[in-house]
This record gives sequence, C-alpha cells and structure tokens, in this order.
Amino acid sequence: MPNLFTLVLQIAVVVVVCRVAGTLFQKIHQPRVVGEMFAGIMLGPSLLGWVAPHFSAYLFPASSLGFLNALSQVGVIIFMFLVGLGINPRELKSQGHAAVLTSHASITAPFVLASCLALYLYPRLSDDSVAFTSFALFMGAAMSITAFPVLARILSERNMLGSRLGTVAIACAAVDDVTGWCILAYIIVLIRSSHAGTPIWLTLGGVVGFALLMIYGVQRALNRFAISFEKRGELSENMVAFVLVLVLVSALCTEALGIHLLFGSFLMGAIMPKEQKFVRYLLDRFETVTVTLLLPLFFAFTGLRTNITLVKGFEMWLYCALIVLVATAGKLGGSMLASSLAGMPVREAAGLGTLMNTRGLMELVILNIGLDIRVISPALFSMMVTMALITTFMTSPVLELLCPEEMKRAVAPPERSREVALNPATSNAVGN
Amino acid sequence: MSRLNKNFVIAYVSLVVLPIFGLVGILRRGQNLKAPTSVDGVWTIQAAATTGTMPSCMSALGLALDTPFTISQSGKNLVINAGKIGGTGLIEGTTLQAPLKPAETLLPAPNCGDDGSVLLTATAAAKASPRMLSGELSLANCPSCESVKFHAIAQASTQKEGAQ
Repeated sequence: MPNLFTLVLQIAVVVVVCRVAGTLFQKIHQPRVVGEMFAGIMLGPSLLGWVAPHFSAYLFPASSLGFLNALSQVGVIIFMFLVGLGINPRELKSQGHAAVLTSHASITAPFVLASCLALYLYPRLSDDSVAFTSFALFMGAAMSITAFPVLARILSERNMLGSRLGTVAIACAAVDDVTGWCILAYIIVLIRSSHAGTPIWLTLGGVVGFALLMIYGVQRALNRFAISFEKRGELSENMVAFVLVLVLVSALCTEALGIHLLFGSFLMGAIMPKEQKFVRYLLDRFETVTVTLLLPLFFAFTGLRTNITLVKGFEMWLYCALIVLVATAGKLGGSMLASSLAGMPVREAAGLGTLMNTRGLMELVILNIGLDIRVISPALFSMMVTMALITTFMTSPVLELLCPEEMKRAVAPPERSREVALNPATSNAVGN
Repeated sequence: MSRLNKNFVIAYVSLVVLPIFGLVGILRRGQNLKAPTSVDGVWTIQAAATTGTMPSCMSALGLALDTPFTISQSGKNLVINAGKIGGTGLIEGTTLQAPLKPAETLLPAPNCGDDGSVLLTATAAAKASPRMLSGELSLANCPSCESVKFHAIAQASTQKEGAQ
C-alpha cells in the first residue's frame, strides 16, 4: 500500500512547483510546458536532491516512486490519446510536395546524423547488453521527433496557425510524430522479441493486424459518438466513460502485443472522429485533470530520473554538447534545407526548421521509454533530457528573431487553413 | 514529367532516399563496435567460503553481505549503491574498480585505516549466464586490514519493460 500522506504531499508539491514555474516561463514568452519540464528537473537529484538531499529523500523516498510513476503513466496514456486526437489524417493526405519533402527530410536528416553520432557514443555511453542497431535506431527516433502539441501552442500564441509557415509546420510535425512512433514501435518490438524469444514477424504481424482492425473496423463504430454528439450537442457521462475505457483497452492491446501502452492510446486518438466541435468537447472533458495534475507528475518523475550530476567532466559535457548540436543540425538544418529546396524563402525555411526542432514533452515520453527498456543509459538519458529542454526553450526566441510580422501574415490557402484549424484544438489542451 | 515534378524527385532522392541507404551502411558499420561489458543491475553478494563474514572494520562503514549492490552503468562509468555505502567507479575491459564511501560521514574505527572508504575491485565473467562478478573488498589505506573476497550474481532483470 502506498503511504498516502507521502503521495498526497508529493502531488501537492509537484503541482505547486509546476504551476509556479510554468507561470514564470510564460512571463519570458515561453510555453508553460517548458517551465513545467524545468520544474520537474528541479525537483530531482539534479537540484533538490543535490542542494537538500535529506529533504529530497523525505519527500521522494525510493519506495514511493512506483506509485508516482503509475499515476504519471496514466497521465501520459491520456496525453497520447489527446495528441492522436489532434492529428487529422485528411490533413496528412492533402499535403503538397513541399510539405511531403520537408516532413520526410526532417525525419531522415536527424535520423542519419543521430546514427552517425551513435557510432561515436555507443562505445562510450552504452554497454554490451544493448545491440548497436537498437541503440542507433533509438537515437535516431528520439532526435527526429517533434513536439506536435507544443509546436501548435507556440504557433497559436503567435497567431501563426493560419499562416503558410504554420500550416506546413503543423503538417510536417504530424507526419514526424506518426513516423517517429512507428519507428519506436519497431525498436521496442526488436528489443522485446530478442528478450522474450517471440519471432519478430509474429509481433509485427499482430501489431499491423491490430492497426488495420482499428482503422477499418473500430473507426467506423466510433462515428456513432460523433453522430450522437451532433444530435444532442453533448455526450452522456456514460459515453465519455466508454471513450476512456476504449482508450485503456486499446493501450492494453498494444502492450499485450509487445509494443507499448502508449501506442494504443495514440492510435485510439488518431482514429476518433475529427469534427472540430466533437474534438473540442472531448478535450474539455479530459484536459483539465491531465494537464494540471497528471502531466506535472510525469515531469516530476522524469526529473527524478534525470541526474545532471552524472554528466560530469569535460568529456561528458562534450558528449552532451554534441547531442544538442547534432539534434539541432539534423532537425533544424534538415527541415530548412528541404523547405528551401522546395521553394520556401530562406528566412521562412529557417523559421520552419526552428519550429520542427521543438521536442518538448514528446521527447521526454520517448526518452522514458528508452530508459525503461534500457536501450539508453542513465547518463545518456540525462543528456538527452538536457537536449530536449534546450531545443524546446530556444524555439520561441529564435522564432521571434527569424519571423517578422509579414511572415506571420502570410496566409495559407483557404482549404489548408480550414484543415489545420481542426488540429490545434489539441494545442490549447496539452501544449500549454 | 513536368519540371516541378522532376525537381521534386531529385530533391526527394537526395534528401530522403540516399540518407536511408546511408543509414543502412551506418548500422552495418556499427555491428563491429564494442561497448563496455554490462554490469548494470542488482547483484547479490556472497563472501568466498574461506571468510564467510564481513570484517568489523567494513561493517563499521555500513557494508553488509546481505545488502545487494545496485550498479547503474553509463558506458564505462558506474554508480554503485550498497545500502549505507556507495560511490562511483569505472569498468575497463572486464575489470571494475570503485571506491565506496558511507553516505554519512563516519569517523574511521580504530585500526581501520584513516580513509574511511572501501575499495571494490572485481572482474566480470564474460558471457556467463546468469552474469557473475568475482572480486575483493578491501579497506583503503589499511594494508594490514583484512579484505573480503566475494562472488556476486546478477539478479533477474528488474527493468520495468511494459510496466510503465
């Protein structure tokens, strides 16, 4: 049984620290989520545990962390459902050549650069229980992800959602996230198959079969929710509870199939009806508790696992700097190069690259999975979290420098604007 | 094929298709790389038959044979925790070395050296299943103090795969 006093105390402290940090970061024109990520790190061994080890041990005793983790993971399951809810397959289909090229290059460039870096880091930060292929693919997936909700929030705050730049960025980020999660699913299958002795084709076949069932079977049934909502203007409490159960069942299915709980919840979100009012309604039902309570617990748990003191000495900080450099060069540089080759003005292309370099919360989710399956070491985890913080933090100021007012006013074609307008509902919820 | 489409295809091949081939090359090249021997995990310590108990000098520092060692590994860097005592160390090849100190500052017991730390030296058995370590715990700066030879067996993985 959890020590309820400790657990409730932890929750109270985490919520207060995250709210305060989020508010302070908003004052320096950063999305609230960046402040909350920093707050999580501050509560961990990197600051609180270092400055006040006895208080830290009292507040976060090792025996209590399992409960904190369980609560935070429930939050991430719902968060991934909300991210999936914000992704509109119609929008992905309607991309122009420029967006297709940019989105694909913004995955391959960081992926290949990260794999090159893996050649250097593997003998230094990994061990022989991890296969190089798993290590390199994980590094690639982790560096090629874009924080779709945070990016949408940044665009929303800058009134750039309907701009040409905003439209392409949202579409590319959505493609990146879907691709990144598919690659990550493959890596998990690869690692778990080798541990469990299950043939990889069996696991992959099961996953593909489940995805097809969801897309072509369950998705049609889900339209009844939208029809009911259209008739009554709301869903009954039972129906909302049923949606939640579907998310959990889908998560359990992907876990049982050998990938991860989060893929199921993401997939359930992705196949939900995309009518704007319906999406907004569901977000209103799920976002408050997730954003104000459960996600801060996830940030705190991530912070408790992040130990910057493991990154010590010139050599380790050099690795950390290389990771930040490669991640930025791959994502920002790759997106910028591709979009300029596709005809986008250089300044605008640089703005797009900066937006795509936002990793935020999605990166933390991926890194936690990597640490859980032990494909990355604790020191590398801390370095990658540092990279996620830096690349997310730099987005707003760099964008401010790069994007003058006329760029914000450059409007996307009407059809695309309408399509995009469906998505950013999510940004207000989880990208705050 | 229109000029626009031709340019798109060229750009796509250069920025997407070719890098994927490059990735395959990188993954092949990486197969030959050697990473440090894995000692990450929780280890159950058993003293060698000749000694059987922990010398009083080491007990005074908080070392106990019934407390498992937890090793957290990042490449060749190790963080070792054994209850009331812990420290950082290195693994070179299959040999690991780590000075362990009590978490709280303690005065060294009489005739137990003046350093108040224990040196852990061990060798990992290559490709053993379950993984094994054999080595010695000795008091730093105390050549006359008794050392303890030990074997350690890695406990079944405690990783939380799928338990998130």
